[in-house]
Amino acid sequence: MRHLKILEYALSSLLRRRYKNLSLVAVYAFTIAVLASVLFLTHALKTEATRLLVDAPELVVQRVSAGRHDLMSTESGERIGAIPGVAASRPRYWGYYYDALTEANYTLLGVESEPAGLEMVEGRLPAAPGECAIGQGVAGIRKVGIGDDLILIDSDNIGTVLEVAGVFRSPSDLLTNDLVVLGRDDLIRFFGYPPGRATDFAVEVYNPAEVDTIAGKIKRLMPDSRPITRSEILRTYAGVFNWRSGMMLTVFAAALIAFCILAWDKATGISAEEKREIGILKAIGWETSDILELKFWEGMAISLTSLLLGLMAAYLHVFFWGATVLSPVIKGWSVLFPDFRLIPFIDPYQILVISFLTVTPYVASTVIPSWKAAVTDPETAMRG
Amino acid sequence: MDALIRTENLSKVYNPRRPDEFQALADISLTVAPGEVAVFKGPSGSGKTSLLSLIGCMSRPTAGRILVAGKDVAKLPERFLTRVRRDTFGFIFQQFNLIRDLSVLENVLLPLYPLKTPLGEMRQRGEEALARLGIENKVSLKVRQLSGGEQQRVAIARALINDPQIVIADEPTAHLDSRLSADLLDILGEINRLGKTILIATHDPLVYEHSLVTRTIAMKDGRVEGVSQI
Repeated sequence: MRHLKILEYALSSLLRRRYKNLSLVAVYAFTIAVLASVLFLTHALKTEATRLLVDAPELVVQRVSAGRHDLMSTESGERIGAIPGVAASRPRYWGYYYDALTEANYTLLGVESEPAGLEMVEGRLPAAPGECAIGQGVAGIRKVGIGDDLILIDSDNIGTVLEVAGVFRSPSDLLTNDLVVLGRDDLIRFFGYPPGRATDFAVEVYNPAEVDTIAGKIKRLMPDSRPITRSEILRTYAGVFNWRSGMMLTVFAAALIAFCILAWDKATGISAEEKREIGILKAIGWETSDILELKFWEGMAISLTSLLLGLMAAYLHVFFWGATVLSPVIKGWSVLFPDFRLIPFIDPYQILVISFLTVTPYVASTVIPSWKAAVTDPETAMRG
Repeated sequence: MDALIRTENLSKVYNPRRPDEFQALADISLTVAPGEVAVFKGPSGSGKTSLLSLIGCMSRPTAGRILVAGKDVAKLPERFLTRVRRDTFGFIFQQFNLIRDLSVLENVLLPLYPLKTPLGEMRQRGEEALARLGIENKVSLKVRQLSGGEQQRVAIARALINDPQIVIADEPTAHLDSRLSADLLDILGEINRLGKTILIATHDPLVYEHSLVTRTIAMKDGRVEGVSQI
């Protein structure tokens, strides 16, 4: 009862200074929103990448020539397949395509069967030569749908007409947004691959724990190869997103420090009026602990409201509005991400960290100066 | 009769060992019996307010003892001192010391917030206190909307809400005209008839010459110049 009454008084105190406190909450919530947006987006992207790579091959082998990715002979696949511990070695046919019309990069993939992890929104996979299935990003940017023609310029600089047979859906657009799937032979013809060449090889191993050993064997067998394990890809994704979010947070640190100075100044610069009020409360019988509790509730009310508003704003920004403000910096590798929508992933640990970094300092900076006033004689404190 | 308040060789130095050191009180020894109306009179700077502040446990003496109902409060830890202040004293300050943005009722109820008194009972006690002082129709007004005399009554209601044994009034007529001052003295008389001991600091003859007063303590330069029992 006693604590509830002090809480009630704290809330009414905040309402008395509503304009000052509303402006403080606005700045505070904005700061938290930016900080949380960066962390939410980074974490969601990393989680998204991890989810998508579940269906990725455990090991991909590429060929490097003069330091760049080059096509591999199909014989290489047979040599890889002969290594003990390798269950299968499948050639993959794919490549990047720059579309001058929309100034976007697409990923072209040649398939013979349905690729894992991809679902169709409507239609089907290409079944006949001259057909393709496309991601929603490509469909949107080229304004094409099922039955329409998609014209792409091939390696002979001639327009190739592909009929759209289907549009993809996946758990998110990350995997399929920029994707154009066509028949394997169509893709080989389109890119002008020499006969007996593939883009790279997907390798399955019997024992996933041995994937690094097998990668080492492949490297020794074919010194011009570059085996890439799934965990390496994951680490690369994590590294890239962490680096980008780190850059963002570094840039944002200036704003964060400015806010901290503002908060500290507001909270510690306890006015003569507030000191006088503390003096009056002490004079009429409030104990120091009652005043600290009052200030604690005031600090908690401000910081928790700001935290809640900031987290809600960050959640809406990242997961409903596609992180419009931050995504160009954090994602940054394709122009085909305008409708990028992540599946909400929130790490409770991150919420704890944000809470600890924002609520604790503010409450402390509210309570500590009030404590100084509260332990002063009421007579002195009342003079302000 | 046993003294309700006794001070022994009380002194108070502000800013000790600093260039602006100032001795406000020196060697004050006096007693006040229960139910008395004691007036501390003297010019500004004579030490009246400082003495009442020490007796009311609002600050600590530099030397000497203060006994309230036989208990030495001068050296009590802060926590216990607050309890003595809360349970024993009601304060009517010269500047009223109300919180201007709170309503009349909220100001009156302030001393009860940190206690276990239920909200309904708090409200009832507050309204009764305001009714006794004739301002029950101002309950929800903000204090800043009241006249000086009305603010004074709110301050009195707040001082009485905890039913204190001793009421301390510091220059209570300083901001009131003669009619309002007379009203205030009537109110203090009623409070005294309820058995409360009243200590008043004033340099207003209207107060120290009033029939209500039972003892006058004249002060000058931080010392007691004379005590007259009426």
